[in-house]
Amino acid sequence: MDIKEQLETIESEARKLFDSVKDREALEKLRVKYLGKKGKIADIFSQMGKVDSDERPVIGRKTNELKNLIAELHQEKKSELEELLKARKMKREEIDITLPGIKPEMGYTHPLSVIINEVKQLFIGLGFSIAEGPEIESEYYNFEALNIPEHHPARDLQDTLYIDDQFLLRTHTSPVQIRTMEDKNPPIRIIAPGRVYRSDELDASHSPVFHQIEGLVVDKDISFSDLKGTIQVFVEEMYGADREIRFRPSYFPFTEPSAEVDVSCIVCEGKGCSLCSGTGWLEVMGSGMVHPNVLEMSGLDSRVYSGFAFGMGWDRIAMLKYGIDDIRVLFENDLRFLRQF
Amino acid sequence: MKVPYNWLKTYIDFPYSPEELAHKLTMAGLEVEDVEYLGQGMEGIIVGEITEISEHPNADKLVICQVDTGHETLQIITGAPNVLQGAKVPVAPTGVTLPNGLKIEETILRGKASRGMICSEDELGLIEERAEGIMILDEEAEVGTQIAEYLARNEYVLKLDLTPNYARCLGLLGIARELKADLADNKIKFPENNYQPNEEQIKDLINVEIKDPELCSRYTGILVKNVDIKTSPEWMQLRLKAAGIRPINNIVDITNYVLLEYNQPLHAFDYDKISGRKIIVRRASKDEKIVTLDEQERVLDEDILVIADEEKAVGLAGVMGGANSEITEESTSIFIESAYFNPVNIRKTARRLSLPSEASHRFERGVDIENVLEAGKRAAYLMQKLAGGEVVGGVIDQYPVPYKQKNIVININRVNRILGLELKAAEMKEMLERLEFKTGIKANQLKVEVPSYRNDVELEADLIEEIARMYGYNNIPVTCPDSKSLGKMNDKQKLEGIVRNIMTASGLNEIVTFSLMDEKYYDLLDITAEDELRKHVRIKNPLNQAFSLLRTSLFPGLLEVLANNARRQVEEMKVFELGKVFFRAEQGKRPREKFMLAGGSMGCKVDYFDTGAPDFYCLKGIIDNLFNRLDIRGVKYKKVENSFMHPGRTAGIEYNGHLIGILGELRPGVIEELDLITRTSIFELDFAELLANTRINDYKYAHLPKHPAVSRDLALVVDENIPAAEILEIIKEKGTEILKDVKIFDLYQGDQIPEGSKSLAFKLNFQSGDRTLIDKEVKDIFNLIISTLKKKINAEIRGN
Repeated sequence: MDIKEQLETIESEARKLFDSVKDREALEKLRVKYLGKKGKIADIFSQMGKVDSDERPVIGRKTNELKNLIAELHQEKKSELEELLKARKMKREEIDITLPGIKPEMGYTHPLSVIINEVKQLFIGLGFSIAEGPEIESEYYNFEALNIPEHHPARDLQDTLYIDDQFLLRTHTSPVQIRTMEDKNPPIRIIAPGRVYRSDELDASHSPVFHQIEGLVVDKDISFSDLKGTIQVFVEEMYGADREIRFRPSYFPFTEPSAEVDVSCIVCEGKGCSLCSGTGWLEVMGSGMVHPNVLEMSGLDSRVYSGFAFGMGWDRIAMLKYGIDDIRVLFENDLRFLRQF
Repeated sequence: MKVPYNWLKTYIDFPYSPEELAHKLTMAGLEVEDVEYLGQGMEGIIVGEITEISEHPNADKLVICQVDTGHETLQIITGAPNVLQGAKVPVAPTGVTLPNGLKIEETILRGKASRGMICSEDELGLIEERAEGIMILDEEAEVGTQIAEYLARNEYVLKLDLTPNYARCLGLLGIARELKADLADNKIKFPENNYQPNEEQIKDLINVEIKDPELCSRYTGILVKNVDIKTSPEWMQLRLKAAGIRPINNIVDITNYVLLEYNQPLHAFDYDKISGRKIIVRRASKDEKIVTLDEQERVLDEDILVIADEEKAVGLAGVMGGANSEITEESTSIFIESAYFNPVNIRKTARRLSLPSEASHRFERGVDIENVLEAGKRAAYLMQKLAGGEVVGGVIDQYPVPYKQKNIVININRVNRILGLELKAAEMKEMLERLEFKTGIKANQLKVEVPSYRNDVELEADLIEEIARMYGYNNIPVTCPDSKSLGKMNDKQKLEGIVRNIMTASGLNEIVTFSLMDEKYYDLLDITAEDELRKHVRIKNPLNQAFSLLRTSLFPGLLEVLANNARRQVEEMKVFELGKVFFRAEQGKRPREKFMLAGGSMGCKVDYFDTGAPDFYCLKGIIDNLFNRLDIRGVKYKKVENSFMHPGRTAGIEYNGHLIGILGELRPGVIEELDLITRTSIFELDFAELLANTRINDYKYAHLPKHPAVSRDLALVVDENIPAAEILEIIKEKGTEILKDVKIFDLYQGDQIPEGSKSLAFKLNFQSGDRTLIDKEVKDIFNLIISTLKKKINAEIRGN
């Protein structure tokens, strides 16, 4: 066989062998067989002396090409086998991904906090600040300054828990309206979330301790339509954009005109169910234009300033939103309950 | 206020069904809570006539009736003893459901078909107890009529929840006026009150003196003689019952009937029991006594207004009549009182004597002083008509403080500005006139005359509401107020959020508990009388013991939550609460309110150092993280004692030399008493201290060190009574500024070391910000630490 034929035979043989090799040891043997010091390529080079001098450069180039080709074949196969090995290892490492994960102990936020955080963020976005006031109030702030004189029938609307002749537990968050107007000049834009108290026996729908959120906006040229707009934004955010809202005349001593705000029932969507007592509507808050007497008593000129106020049950929002049908659940703090929020 | 639909319709015609009426009123501000159909459950029950009765061939006690219901004849088998041929009876044919829920089905009774049921009174829901037999109706009852109609049960009653400003609607005429505002073409049909007087003159028979015009600014009276006291006619009784008032006799019923029409309480006196033929309206004298109609003796004083004759009080003005002048079956002459009493005074009296009545409820909200006499005349008319009375000519009308016409000027621009509307003066005028406010336009103002029955209207704002109501609240546009202000939270509110996040991230569940509590908790926790926690604020009028005082600590609520959960087999739980506590101040001073953070842990499973106090150390770690996060440095834990915490496992939390909180394990006795899990631990921190001392707003970035750190471990054996904090302090002091961090990573007590001692292992981390530390430098300092520890606390170095 002349050298050219040898080269061709080596190439076709090497291609076949490298292709079929299955493990690293065999591959190494192949490498030695072809590229080793005594390998087939070395053997060709050793025969170079016998080649005609004019053919030598051609044969030399071809031999080098073949050497490179075999080195390449070896490298390819080597990588291939390494990949295969990694894959096998990973295959052995397979786990049951359906086993449960490891859960770090996590604490849950009480639903009342979840709700108030949402409400706060919403109103902060509307330019409101958060105001607070004492839970032990004087007669003046809880009643008189809110246009509820001592012998007015409106006092019947709330059963009050008294501390003594002077102090009582606030029955609503409305005193914060007065405190804010006394402290600060318009423009005023606040919400005041807080705890309130009534002399109500604890049952599924009443609690002597519960929570309200008060809102107050006072400035020049604040109108009833502004009240409607603000409440609409709130209702859509809290109860969903597809809720219908209606305003209906009502009475609060500290607002005039006053309006009760109803939202189409979140369960039956207005058809009538047990939650809405068949009316299709849920009462969600009281509201109105701040009564001129209240503005005046708080030191604001009612001919210059106007404002609106609203108040709602914070527990009630949580109950409606989460479908809680018993207010006591909120205060029982059963772990199974807390872990739902 | 209960409003019977058909009765209301006699004063104004309106095109609304009961449901539509309810909606209409609700949207006008008169909230309708409920609409009740009095014939509820009687649907389908009709008047039938028993045309034939035959014996049942297979049963002695049953008979077979043929009953004509107008369009068919039903065979019905009954066992009623009073069944009678030709009787008109209520019949429930097959398919009808009785008020008690029983569905009538066709049955075979001993081989004979029965296709309905002849009902008794209890089966119709008319009486509670079981009736002896079937109900026999009047002979005139028309066969085929719905029984609800025959029994006048075909009435709807609207239950109104009226706010104080709608007091005028505590009478049906007031509600009719509200409806009139939307029904321009319909007139209000005022009740007939033109009676025929006799020849006598009332002033010859009785006179009236008002001693205190401030408390009684108008008093009118009419005298009716020769009345025949009996039950009032069926229609009147039915209407009163529908409105929720029990019929008594024709005279009392008439006064109640007129009350419901006019919103004017009346009182009927037995004229013959009034001594001296004189009515005196005066304040009671101190300790004067009267027995009221409810047969209770009442002790009065000067603040209470009475109606008296020359000798004695005969009634509590506006609240309740006296027994001594009550109408009885023997009464023949009636003095009808219709008056206006001071609302505040009536309210005080009714409250003082705990005597709320239909009358006081209305007087304290203010009645229409101008219509006082009209109502009295209506009663006289009805007494003439229904009790055969003879009305004496003339009336008494003492009116010492005449009504002053109220006029309000409103500014059109302001009305529009407040409502967000652009109404013209004429439009406003039209709306107000629909509500019977006489209105004149002058430039951009309206001059409005307030009708006498509108005592709720005092200011421009009140008229703005009326205009809004007429325009329709829901037609007012929706806008958003311009805002230039930035909404924000203050530092306290922000910190509250941060603390809440740290607590929940640490695995504590937020709880919300009542701030009213039972004093028994303080006894249970053995809190002594002198303890600060006993400086609680007590409720003057508590609902019950469980809500009788305000908490001075968040612990009682928190322990109750843990205990309740432990009783429900919860094995591990961590909680926290953010809330206010309250402390009594000196007499006349406002009680103090403090905002607190409290937490608790029970059943904690992780106990790194095998201390047997996992809950304590778990909470301590969380508190340390909190201080760290809030950048409050140098908090110290000092041993303290209190009545409900374990004496060896309680720490006062100190900052800058004063106590800002407490952390500890509960005493075993308390744990047992509350069924808590053993080792339950709690903490409480004064939130104001966290707020005052946090430097969370002053965070500055610290450059990350570029030079390598060197770490050394140190294991010591020391007396077991030496606190870790003391050792740490020595290490830190001697470690100089290159000791960046030192941690305890092991605690051991046991066989390997002498009794009464403990082994502690520390990891020390040395690093410099400006150079790579050389070995010798670290070694020197480390050795100094060791020698100091040996010297100061007699420490033995392990493995050294």
